[in-house]
Amino acid sequence: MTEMTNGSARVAVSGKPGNSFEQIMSNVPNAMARWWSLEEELRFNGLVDSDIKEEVRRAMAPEAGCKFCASLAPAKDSYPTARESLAVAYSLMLARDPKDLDDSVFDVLREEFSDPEIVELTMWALFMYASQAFGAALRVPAADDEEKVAYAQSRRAELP
Amino acid sequence: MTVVADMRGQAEIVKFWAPWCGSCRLFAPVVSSVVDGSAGEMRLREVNLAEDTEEADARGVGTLPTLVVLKDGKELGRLIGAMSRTALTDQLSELLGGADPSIDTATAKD
Repeated sequence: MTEMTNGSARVAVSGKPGNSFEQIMSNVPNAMARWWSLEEELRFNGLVDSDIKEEVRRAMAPEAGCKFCASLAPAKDSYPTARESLAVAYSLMLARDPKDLDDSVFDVLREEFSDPEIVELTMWALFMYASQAFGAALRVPAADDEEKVAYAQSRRAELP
Repeated sequence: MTVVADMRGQAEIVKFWAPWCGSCRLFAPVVSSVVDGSAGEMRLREVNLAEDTEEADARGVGTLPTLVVLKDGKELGRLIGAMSRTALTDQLSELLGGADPSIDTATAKD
């Protein structure tokens, strides 16, 4: 194990291969493996396009305060489709206060998304929020250029 | 028909919103879609309360998002909160369908 220095993460990193986030998470290797497996399942094997999910992730990262997550890629200023725009808006509302969602939110969503898509989007957004809250709490540092490239490549490679 | 349409003028939809308002963000593509689909009968004007609170104060707008519907300078009504495209279309049709701008114009001339 290697202690991170001042200003970096709050816990020891494993020294195993991987980016800063993975090195911290790999303190609990079995859970980490399942965590990433669930991320892959939700990101790539669902009904909602994985590009939309990536936009959700990007928009939520600053909200959750995860420097690592936010540094991987910036959120867009605007979105070209109603689906993308609504997915991001809904996810940010979930992150801010899930108790505050009234029925009108779902009336709006149902005009663009089926019920299974809404469920999937909710799962993705809350899973991302959990990941990002993890990064914020344990203060995973911003990604370096190499980590950013590796992230982008891994997502492109796995796009359908 | 063209003359009547010209006399009517466009309805102006004033959207009051703020960047911190989640339902405003959710509602934004809905409003744009309805206005864009109105074949020029409506135009959208946005008031971002992070930049300008004067008009919101003047109009007594206290909840976001709020749409104030104006025609020929008169407020026909306001719609508060996010809603679906179907609900927005119906409510705008009701507001705009209830107006008889030709009477307003005649009254103004008198």
